[in-house]
Amino acid sequence: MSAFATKWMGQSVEVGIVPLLVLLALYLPLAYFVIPESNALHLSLFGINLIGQIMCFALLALALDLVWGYAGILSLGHGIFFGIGGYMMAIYLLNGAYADTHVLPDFLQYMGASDFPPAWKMLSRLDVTIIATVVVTVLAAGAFGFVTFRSRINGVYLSIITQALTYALMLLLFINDVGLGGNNGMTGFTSLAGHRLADTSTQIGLAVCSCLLLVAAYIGVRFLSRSSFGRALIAVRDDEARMRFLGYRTHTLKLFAWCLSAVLAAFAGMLYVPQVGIVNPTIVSPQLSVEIAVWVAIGGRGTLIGAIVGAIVVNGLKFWLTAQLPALWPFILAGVTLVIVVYSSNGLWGALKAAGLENNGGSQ
Amino acid sequence: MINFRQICCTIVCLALVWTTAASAAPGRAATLASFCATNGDKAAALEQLVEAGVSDDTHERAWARQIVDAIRNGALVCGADGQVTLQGHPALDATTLQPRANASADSPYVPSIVMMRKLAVASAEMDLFSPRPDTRAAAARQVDKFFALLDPAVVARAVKAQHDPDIAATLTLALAKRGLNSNVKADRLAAINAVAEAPSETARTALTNFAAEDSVRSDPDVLAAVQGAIRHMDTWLSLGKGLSILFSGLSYAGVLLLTALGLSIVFGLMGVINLAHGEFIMIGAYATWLVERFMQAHLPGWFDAYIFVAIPVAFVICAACGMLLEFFVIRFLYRRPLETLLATWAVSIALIKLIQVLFGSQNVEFVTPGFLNGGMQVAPGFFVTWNRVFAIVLAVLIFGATFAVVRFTKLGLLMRATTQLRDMARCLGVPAERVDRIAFGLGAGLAGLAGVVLTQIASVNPSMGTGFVVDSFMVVVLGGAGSLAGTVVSSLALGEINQFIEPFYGAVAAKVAVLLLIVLIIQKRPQGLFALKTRV
Amino acid sequence: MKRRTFLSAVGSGLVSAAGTALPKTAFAAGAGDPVKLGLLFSQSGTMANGESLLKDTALMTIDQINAKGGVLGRKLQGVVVDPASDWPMYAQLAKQLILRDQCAALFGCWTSVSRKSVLPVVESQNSLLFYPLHFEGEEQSKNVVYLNSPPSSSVLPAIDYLMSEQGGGARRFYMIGSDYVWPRTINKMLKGYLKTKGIPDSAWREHYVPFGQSNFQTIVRDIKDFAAQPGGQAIVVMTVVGDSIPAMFKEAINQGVRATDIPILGLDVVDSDLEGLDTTPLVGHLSCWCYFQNVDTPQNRQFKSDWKNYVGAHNLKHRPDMVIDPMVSTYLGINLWAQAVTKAHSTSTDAVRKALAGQSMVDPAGYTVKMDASTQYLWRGDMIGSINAKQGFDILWKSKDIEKPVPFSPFIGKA
Repeated sequence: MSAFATKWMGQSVEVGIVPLLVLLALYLPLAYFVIPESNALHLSLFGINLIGQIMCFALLALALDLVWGYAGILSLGHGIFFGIGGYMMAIYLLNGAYADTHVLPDFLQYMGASDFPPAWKMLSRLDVTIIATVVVTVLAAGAFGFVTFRSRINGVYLSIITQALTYALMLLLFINDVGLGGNNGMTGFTSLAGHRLADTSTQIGLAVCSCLLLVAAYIGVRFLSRSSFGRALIAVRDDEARMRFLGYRTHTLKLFAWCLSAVLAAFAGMLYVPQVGIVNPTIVSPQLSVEIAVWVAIGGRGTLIGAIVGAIVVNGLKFWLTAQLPALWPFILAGVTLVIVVYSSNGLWGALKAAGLENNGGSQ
Repeated sequence: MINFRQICCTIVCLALVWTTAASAAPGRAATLASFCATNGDKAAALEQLVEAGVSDDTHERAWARQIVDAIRNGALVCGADGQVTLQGHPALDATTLQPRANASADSPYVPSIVMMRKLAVASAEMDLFSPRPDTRAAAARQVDKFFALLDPAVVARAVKAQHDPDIAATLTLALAKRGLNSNVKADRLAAINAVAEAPSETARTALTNFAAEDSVRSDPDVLAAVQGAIRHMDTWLSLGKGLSILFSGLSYAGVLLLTALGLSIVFGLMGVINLAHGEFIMIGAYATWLVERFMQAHLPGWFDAYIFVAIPVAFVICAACGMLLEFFVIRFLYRRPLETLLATWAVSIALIKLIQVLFGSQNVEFVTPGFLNGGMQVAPGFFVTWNRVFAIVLAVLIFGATFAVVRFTKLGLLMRATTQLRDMARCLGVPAERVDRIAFGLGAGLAGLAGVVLTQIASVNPSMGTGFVVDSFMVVVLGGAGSLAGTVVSSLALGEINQFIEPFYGAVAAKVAVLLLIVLIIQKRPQGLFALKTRV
Repeated sequence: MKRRTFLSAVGSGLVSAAGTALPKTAFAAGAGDPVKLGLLFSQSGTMANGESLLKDTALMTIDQINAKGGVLGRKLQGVVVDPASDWPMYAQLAKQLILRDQCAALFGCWTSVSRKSVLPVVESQNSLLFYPLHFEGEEQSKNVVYLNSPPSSSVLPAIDYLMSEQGGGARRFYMIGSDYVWPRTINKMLKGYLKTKGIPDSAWREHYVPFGQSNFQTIVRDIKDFAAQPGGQAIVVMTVVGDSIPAMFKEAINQGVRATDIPILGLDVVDSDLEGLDTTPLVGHLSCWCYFQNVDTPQNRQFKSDWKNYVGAHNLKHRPDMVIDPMVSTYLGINLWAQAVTKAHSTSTDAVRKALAGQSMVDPAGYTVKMDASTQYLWRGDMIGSINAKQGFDILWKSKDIEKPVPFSPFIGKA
């Protein structure tokens, strides 16, 4: 009885995150438009914007958990796909800004161009941009994954290679001659799919979309992880050689998970950029990519919820503390990471779950 | 009895001295006045100064020397009242060099760039007659550099007065470059030959400008001679440029080697990815800064040696930090490389912030030790700077020491055994945990040494380490973890490739190309170039 | 369990929201409350050296104004944030200063890329950014006040001097800059200008390095190679910024490049970049600004002694005897803002903007600076300085009077 109850409650808890996030999505427009400013539950536009950004980071963490927690691939370069989504959305937004203002972005002007490059002009509609992003991301992830997984590179070597690749991409993007804005990055966005970005409703709408996309992604990935595909991934993570000997094409499994994760990260990037209003090469910095892994590690990898919880907790703390105690934040982050990584390899969520199991007296 | 003749002679001598002094004073005053006049011909005044500076009168020479130096140092004040003063403690009157009662309130004369060149030549021309040979040699090189501005009369006199053949040769060459414009054809051909014998970039420019003149183009013999000379010089200059690129590659490789050496040992031994490696480099650099400050305050006489003192200090500090890190963090993560990665990353951000809080986030500036300043023109087109030579030499020495430790000491033997077959070594009684700790300390100490060397080449600030982590890992991964020979070969290869690409596409593109190249090679050969042969 | 999840998941969301909402509710705008000015200067990263000086100058000026009673009977308060030389952070913090801290105006930015990041924020929130650095022009936003000179009043006079016989008759130009908008635009304008002077395309070369680049070995070699080509005297137009400036100077010194060989016109070089360098081999290299601290006026003496006392009183890590142009610009900006607020009897952006037009005051260099009536550019005097052996600048030339700033250069399109 108790074992059944624990299992039932465990399931319900993990599914429970979905209505929570949906509630949050509903709360956001209420908090701004309906609840009066003097109330403590009112959220300023700045706060809603922050929540939207955190939701994008949570989606990014979810994407990494898919490949790390389930397939055992620690990618320290997921920033690349985040950046691909971000930059492609930025190009689409620049097209929109040009249609509104008929003024070329600065970096095109001082590089001497008189018009957008033809490849850019294709990204003038949102649906085309989304499809193009998916295609580019799958191609990039697929190319990398195909070569790497076939060569049976994994573990720390793969992590270092992904760091090197994201570092190389960041260096490339800093060069103005590459034509993507260089150090300035791209900014000056005016409208997204007909909605003016300066309107509060658009900003709130973007934050709500981020929540809902996170929900959809979570449901989808969770379904996948409970399916036989998910089981196979876990088996690959635990002992790839055995799986190979059992006849599974492990590199195909890993490649599929890798490409899916990349697409999720790209979507996170696409929603992140209009909320921040600027994209620049620091989005693909090695530092950010390692931080994603830290969010997943702190939250608890392999549990999906852990990734979301980790991203929300760490980024929430970061935004709060860098405003109040900027000198202390790196020490706090370092301390928390060290404690979690050394003592509790299941992260916050794992610790919570374990404590909950003990409470219920259930032994699994 | 006083001789009447003696009295007359004394009076005449005194009168002569007085008149020469009086006439010298007007000469000096006139020169200074024409220099200070608003629309005066400063160049002509400078020529007069040089004449005084090379005359036989020691007083005149000393005076001219002092005036020219004062102008170069921005200490000559052309007073609005006509009085010319030299700033200083005490302020001096420029004509008599006697202290003035009150210093002038006007601003000193600031020489323009053109005037600075003329002053450099003037000073050099005066130095040509100095009793010290090294001063004369330096002056001759200066005159040669600014051959277009030299005064042929003065330099010709200097050539005649020189006993040293090298100095005379330099001066003759300078005159030759100046004399390319002679009207006598034989002289021109001789001048072209003289110039071609001493290839340099400035000589090539002089000849190219010369070749474009109408008088040369119309004369086929001279034209042929000039073009031949230019071709001859071009071969030498290309050779020099090639050597330059090789040298830069070598210095870049030296830096890579230093930063990657410690990592190779640690990664090979324990399979630990230490993302805090860059921060050990940074700590080494800051330790050097502390040593520099200390020696500047307490041992100023030995200041230039601070870099040598910093070597053991940085090594010890970083080795201690490394061992602490291993003791408190790494040893709990045995056989969990991915967690080690994250844990060391956490330590790295804490270290960066700690150093930021302690020392500030601005760059710290280092005073280069005297013996590392400047450089040497080894061959035409090939100039080496001493700080990079130092980096290369130190890299080789440190590598040699590390190799000796690993190959010939008992500790090295234990480290190699633990790297090759850890469990077997433990069965044989090797204290693997202690070896780990010491090896980690060694790796961190080597990173500190890299930091010491980098203080002379790169900028030092709390986040300097992040730029080196990815590069050092790529070097280690390419060379093969744990293999010292592999680290050397891969640093050399990567350093040279980087420097070959850089002149064409820029430093960033070179870096990116090298990174991509490594990634491709790793796909084909994941264990690196020199894989350690183990039975597992 | 469900309750625990509820608490943990929503609680962290509320943490971030509360962190943003609470201070706002605690600060209801009232008359007697201080007027807040946002100070958007980096305290860490590659721009920290310069920008931390500006932050402290701003705080000093605020103290001076408060000592005279503040504005409209209210004290001023500087809100300090650290964007850490990260351009998106400038935008984020600008939003925070305007929305959360309700700052009346922002003073900040050094590099043009940071200004361009903040520009959309101040425009969408209708706030004012007072920008104290000389820059590339080509911009005129009603939400930015340009306190320092565009190229027409700083770069071109210096180039003219270097091309004149007295300056060495420069005919060949090597342009080395950090890779972002300011150097690229300056060089584009310069190329157009040189074309009008008859300089052929083969006589110039352009090269860009990333921010924070410290290895100039190959570049200085390239410069020497370029200078050795025939065609006339070569000069270097140096538009690198931050840490790259001392790195490039050190490499030039080591490789024996002197001002008498190849003069370097360092457009962003200030005294703080020369700190710690032995500048004897650098004597003669040039820079151009609206102010050099050697200028001898009673206002400058007062300003320098005020700064010295401030550094001593607050135990700051800066040199008490060093004052650079952007510090003076920041000082002018805050004072002009205060004058405008007093005239307009309001701190609202639109009122201040209207009152700013035509405001004037005497600056430490002795010029009576004046805010343009329509472009929001400040009319300033111009000076060319030559590096001396004491890690400072000697004034080689200064303009007789303030010069009209030209926001949009006629030479840009000619390249």
